[in-house]
Amino acid sequence: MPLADAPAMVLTPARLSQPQSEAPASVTVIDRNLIEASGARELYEVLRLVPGMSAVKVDGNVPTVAYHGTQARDSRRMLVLLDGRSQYQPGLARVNWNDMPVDIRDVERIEVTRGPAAAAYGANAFTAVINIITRDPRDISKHTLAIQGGNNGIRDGYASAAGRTDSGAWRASLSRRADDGYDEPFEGRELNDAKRIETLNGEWVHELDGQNTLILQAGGSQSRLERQQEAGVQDLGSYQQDPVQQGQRTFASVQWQHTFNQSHQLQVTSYGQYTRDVTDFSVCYRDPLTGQFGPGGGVLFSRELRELYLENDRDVGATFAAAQTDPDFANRYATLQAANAPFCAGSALDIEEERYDLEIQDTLQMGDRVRLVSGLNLRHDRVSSDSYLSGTYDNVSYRAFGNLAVDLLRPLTLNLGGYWERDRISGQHFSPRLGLNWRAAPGHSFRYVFSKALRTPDIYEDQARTNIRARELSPLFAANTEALLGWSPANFFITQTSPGTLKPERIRSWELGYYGQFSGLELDVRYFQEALTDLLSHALNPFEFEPNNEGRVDHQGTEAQLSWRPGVNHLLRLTGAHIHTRVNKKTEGRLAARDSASALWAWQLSDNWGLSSAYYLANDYNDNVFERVDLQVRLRHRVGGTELEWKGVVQHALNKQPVVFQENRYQEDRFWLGLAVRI
Amino acid sequence: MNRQGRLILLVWLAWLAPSLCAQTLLPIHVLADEGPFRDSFIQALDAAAIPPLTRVADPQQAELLIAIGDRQFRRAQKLDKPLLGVYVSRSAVALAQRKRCQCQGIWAGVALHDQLAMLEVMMPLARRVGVIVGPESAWTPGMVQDYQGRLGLTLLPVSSVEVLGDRLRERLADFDALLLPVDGQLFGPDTAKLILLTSYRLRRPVFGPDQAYVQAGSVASLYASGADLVAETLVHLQFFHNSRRLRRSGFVHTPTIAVNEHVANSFDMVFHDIESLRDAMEASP
Repeated sequence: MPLADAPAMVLTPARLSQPQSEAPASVTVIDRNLIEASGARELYEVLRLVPGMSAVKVDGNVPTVAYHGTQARDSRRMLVLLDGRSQYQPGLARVNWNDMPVDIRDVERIEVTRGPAAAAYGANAFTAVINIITRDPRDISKHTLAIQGGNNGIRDGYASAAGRTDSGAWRASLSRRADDGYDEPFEGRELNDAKRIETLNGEWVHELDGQNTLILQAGGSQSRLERQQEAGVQDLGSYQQDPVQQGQRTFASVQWQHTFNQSHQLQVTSYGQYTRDVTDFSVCYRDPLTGQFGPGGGVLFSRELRELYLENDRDVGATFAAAQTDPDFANRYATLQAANAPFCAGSALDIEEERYDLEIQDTLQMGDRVRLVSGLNLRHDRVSSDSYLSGTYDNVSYRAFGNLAVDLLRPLTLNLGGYWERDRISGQHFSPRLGLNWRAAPGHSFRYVFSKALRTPDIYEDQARTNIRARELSPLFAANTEALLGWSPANFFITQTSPGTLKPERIRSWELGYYGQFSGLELDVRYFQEALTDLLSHALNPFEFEPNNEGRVDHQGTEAQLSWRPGVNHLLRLTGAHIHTRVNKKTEGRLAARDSASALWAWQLSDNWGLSSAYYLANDYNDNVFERVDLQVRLRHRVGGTELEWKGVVQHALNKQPVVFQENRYQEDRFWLGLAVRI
Repeated sequence: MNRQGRLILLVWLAWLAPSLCAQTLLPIHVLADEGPFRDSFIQALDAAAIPPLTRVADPQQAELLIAIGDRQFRRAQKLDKPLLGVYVSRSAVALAQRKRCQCQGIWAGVALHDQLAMLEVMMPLARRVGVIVGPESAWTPGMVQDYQGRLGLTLLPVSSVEVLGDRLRERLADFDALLLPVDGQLFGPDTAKLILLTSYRLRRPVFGPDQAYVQAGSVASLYASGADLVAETLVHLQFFHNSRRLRRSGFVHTPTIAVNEHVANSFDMVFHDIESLRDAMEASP
């Protein structure tokens, strides 16, 4: 009878992901259609579509993305995964959105787990997890060429190719993007925040047989970012070369998927990542005693001043006070005067970070009601830096995790999860999560989730030994460094050292949520309370370093996201968040907007024409309201077998307020035009 | 007998004729491949009281032939008798009718609007549905284009298995769900993995075409079970018995539901078990 040879079971419950109505978390999914409708040019911008998420460029060209944002800079409380590879850097805890080795056009889907998720992903999945999933080569059938250009120096290019073999598929893409950053002069000067980034991303999927699949990925990026002058350095001298940050990244990963049977799957993943960032700058230093440019500026890099700094408990004021009467300092100063040339030095802030990761994950469907995901992970992080660590440090971590999902009764699902870790910096710790989901009626469910998570100190926070070396001295100082400055190599007198006793930051969270499906409408609402304690809230940079766990933040609020399709050709997507935040350190409140929202409307006018518009609001970031509206028009048509897509995008700020900090202003709207050809 | 008497007799006989005919057994012959389905089908026909049937061994003795499946349907046409195909492709019936055979068919598969009604109940969020149609599919492009309901249907014509993969890769992400008709050429064991794993990777659920695909991994499907086919056959036989004409071809009117609960649950379908889905479909307008 019908289909006499019925196909063998090809999909396994073990492979199937947990539905949103049973997940022990609030989840936001942004798929490729939504990414395209948003008109976003860079990946981080898309995250404005997540309720409660801040995504803005805080330092000229450096994006800050934070869920329930607190600090504007040094945002380091959220885990970002790119095809399962952690983008959270081990040395200086951060996610480099500029340098992520992927182009926005390569992304298939972004899944954001809102709330602490360390029970599933380990430490540093503190406030949320962003999982970026690239396109599977088996789902791509065309090559693509794309260019776009606009004002503010926007010049982007993209090329990708894809192909199939007898037992697999591959894809590779190369991209470049560039722009000039904020264009409003600040205090009479143009801001140095232009950037240029190139990325390479490739994947090869090979189906060994019906039960085994091998996935290889590799790629990298390089970037050149103009950075802004540091206010502290401006007080000491005059930049001769503005800071420029150059970054390189490479990665390679291999994954083996094995299906034992329809209920049991094993996945083994291993990857390596390398990151190198160097920020070069050159300054001519003023004589601290006269305030004039001259050889006396060299005392700032003298051995004597360093010794006085350490003797005076790293108090800069006390150091200079003591210098007034210190005979060694006086001799050094006099020696420098004989140089009779201004003291200028090039320096660099450098860091190299390597990560090697091996993970085994087992997914087992036990009957109809129980599912277990468990695994082991071994990770080796190595960081080398002259300026931040004065050496190389390693951190090896051992991990085990598990999540059990049980249908207690038909409408009631219990999720119990935990992640155990042990590493050199923070010792041993465990992050638990409990979730209860109740399917009250078909298409309507409620959830309660309780979770705890940690953010462990990064290697810099734990092992900081900062030294800003004087490189590229003028010939006179370079030839006589030891004689003139008292040591070689010579370092800036300020140095920071971490006590090595910093504790992990902690978060405890609970939420009540609702998820419902109506005709053409999907709604998710969440009420939550989060307590963040033991925070490293004070400055931890080479010039200002206050390592302590005294920070505390409390969040309480509501978030909602709604997707509505009033008709076949319309999509309206709304998000909103209302969050009350209490902080004990002012910097922790800079990105804590009480009210934020986004509204995206996409209208497919015809088979060829599409129109979309988005509105974004954050009230406020550092007392500045962020409010912007975007508009995009798209035209798709075919010429023979080739598909062409034209698009124009305008981003218009609805007020003239700066973005977070005073220097971040746009003088005019951003706009660009793009053309993509798919062959 | 006088003229009045003859008139009364004629009227009485005319009044009796339908009931006399109704008691007349309809000789039928069943052509089907050997196997358990054939045996069950015949047993069900034999057990049916209405219409009164008699199954004959010699097809030449039958007033109506019943052929199960395309192969037997084509074979039965040579016998040049009224022919009802059961679970036959729409194209096979159309071809036979062009050759002027006296035949109709119960088409393989289920009606498009029935599948869409189930899809709407299971997935109220869906607005854009892609429907793959090939030359041998149970649905025609015209059926898809004639749809006037709430969903936005997009016809994806696929001429052969060779181009199926490319069509999926190009278009699947444009839809909220994919709907497949019964089509022995396009949707068999060989293409199930391609379609279902692609749909899973792109998070786009597949509905249809039948129970076997649901077992393999599509979300759900209505299908014509053996009991449904027997019931529909009896309707056709009753019609033929009353009028000596064949009822027009079509799908079964009361198909059966199949749901893959794991897949339906994964895609967060509103209903992901058969009982609750059946109740919901009965309650929906």
